[in-house]
Amino acid sequence: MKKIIAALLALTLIFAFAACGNEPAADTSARTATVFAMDTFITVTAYSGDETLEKVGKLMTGLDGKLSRTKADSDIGRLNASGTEGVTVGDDAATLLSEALGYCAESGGIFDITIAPVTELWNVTGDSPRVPSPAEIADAMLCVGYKYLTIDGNEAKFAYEGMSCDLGGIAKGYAADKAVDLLKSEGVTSAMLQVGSSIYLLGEKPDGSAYNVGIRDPEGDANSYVGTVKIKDKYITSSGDYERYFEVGGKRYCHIFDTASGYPIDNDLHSVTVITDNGAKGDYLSTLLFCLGLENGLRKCEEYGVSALFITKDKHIYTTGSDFAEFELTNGDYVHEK
Amino acid sequence: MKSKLSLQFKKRDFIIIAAALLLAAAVFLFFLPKGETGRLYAEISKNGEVIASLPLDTDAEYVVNGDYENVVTISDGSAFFSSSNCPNEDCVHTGKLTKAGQLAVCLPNGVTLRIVGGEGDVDAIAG
Amino acid sequence: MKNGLKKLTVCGLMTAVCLILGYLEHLLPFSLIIPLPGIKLGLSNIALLVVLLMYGPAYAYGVTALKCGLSALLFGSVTSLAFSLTGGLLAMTAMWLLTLTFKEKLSVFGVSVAGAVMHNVGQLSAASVIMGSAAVFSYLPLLATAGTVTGLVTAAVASRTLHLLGYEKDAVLS
Repeated sequence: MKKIIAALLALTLIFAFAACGNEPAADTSARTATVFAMDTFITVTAYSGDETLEKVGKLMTGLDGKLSRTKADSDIGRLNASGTEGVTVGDDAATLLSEALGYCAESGGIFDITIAPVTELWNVTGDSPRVPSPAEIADAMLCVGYKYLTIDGNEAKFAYEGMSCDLGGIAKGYAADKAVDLLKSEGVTSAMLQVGSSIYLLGEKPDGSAYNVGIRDPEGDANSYVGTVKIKDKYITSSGDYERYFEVGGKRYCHIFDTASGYPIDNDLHSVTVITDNGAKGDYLSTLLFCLGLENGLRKCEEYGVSALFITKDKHIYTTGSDFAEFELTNGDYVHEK
Repeated sequence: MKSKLSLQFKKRDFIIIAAALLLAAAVFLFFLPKGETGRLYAEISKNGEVIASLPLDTDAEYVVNGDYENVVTISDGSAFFSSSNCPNEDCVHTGKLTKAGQLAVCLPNGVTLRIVGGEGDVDAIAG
Repeated sequence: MKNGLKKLTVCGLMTAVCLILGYLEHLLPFSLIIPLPGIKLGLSNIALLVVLLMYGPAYAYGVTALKCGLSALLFGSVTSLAFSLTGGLLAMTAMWLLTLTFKEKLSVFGVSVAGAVMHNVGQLSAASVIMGSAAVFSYLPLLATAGTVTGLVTAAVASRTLHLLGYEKDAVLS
């Protein structure tokens, strides 16, 4: 069974350098380890400090175990099984739940963590995705509404039977934030932390330059990109229709849902990439902007000063915000609208 | 009795042989790396899913867990399975990979190590 | 001896021959070239070809299945069973269809080469399903070329064997 929460939580941690600086790269071989837990690859790489890696690995496995919707004994799993009884969740789940509910409210419900009954019905990321009947969708939609999930301290509670929530949309970013905090506390000043397709770039490269990050080409393979952007000390993440989807009758159904209709998002966008300081917020914003579509998304970015890059289905790229000011287009199939 | 298959080589057998070799050639061409210049990466996949893409110019060691444990080492521009606790250690015996398109496999662990070309000089790809 | 009994005896014998050939192949350091356990050249095709031509597809498929099951039991694993079954059945099907349609045009050599190559295609298909990746097919050029050569060698041996068993004669010894 593919899991929904962070099935992309293939965590690749690449420490660009150890804290100690100027040694030739040949002397410090990068150490990497992967842990396979719950259908998830958790990967840690560093040029030194096996212990730090182990700690990061443990942190990631631990978070996955607390925040996974598909694991029955996780905080979220227990919450989803609790009906209207309510459960006491751990600090991580409580923090992230209240942060997530804040985002739900801010987006006016366009971003909604209680969409889980609908995603489960479609099962886009599972083994047997299908297009449900309008009646089934309407039924599932009755159980959606972030306002009916309350978190008070560590007490989380649904107001109605049949509700469930999924933090998969922002758990990756939260995990990245936590890992970066840990790295910093271990004295690492320069690191590249890859969580699935999202990356936290801690500090700058050992030579003092910014990281050069490619933006994935939604129509190409995993190694192709449309252009590059220089990043220091930021989190970059994308939401799009190209990574997890299924097709029926030539129509593509992606894993991000329109919370008003209960159908997968299908607008003029292929993907949205945002650069933020905060991982969970980055994940939220990329999802929200993808749901909004190009025009409303751009407006929202201007309004809130968000740095984002939009790739439309007709191969136009729109950038906004200071972090994308120096975006460099490298793929001639695309047009960069300025 | 019906007619029987000849035990002596016939000219038309060459058609089968040619077809076999053509198949080999076609598949060879298909897997020929396409315009992959620039930086090379070691792409590690497990059960068909890419789990890591490591640049060949940066020495590294990568441990893949699963039913078995494989260690992939990247050193001096080559990538290889440096150790494994799988039954035959065929993956280790494959040796060092240095060119785009080369492949090493640990079947018991479902892991493939493949050399792929990157498009340019980026530190990572987001999205 | 009754005809059926003789067929059964020969088939049993051929299964044993398959297993021995499979074991001999197992000893070759072939995995150094193709690092996929269970990928083989298919020397046991000699015996399978003999059974197919002497007794027809029903017996041939039976021996193929027996050989695959027994060799997995004796020296293999579940994975190698998947390999040899897919390879063996695909090879047998290719050879059977060729003997069915081009009996007058081809000889045992062409049929054997086709069998050997399809044997490899089948094994790689099984491997690619297990790995979830078609990348293993990049071994096919090497395997198919090697398969062509072994196919010719096994055909030569099978040809001689069939001759000795009186395949060309209209009345089969009984």
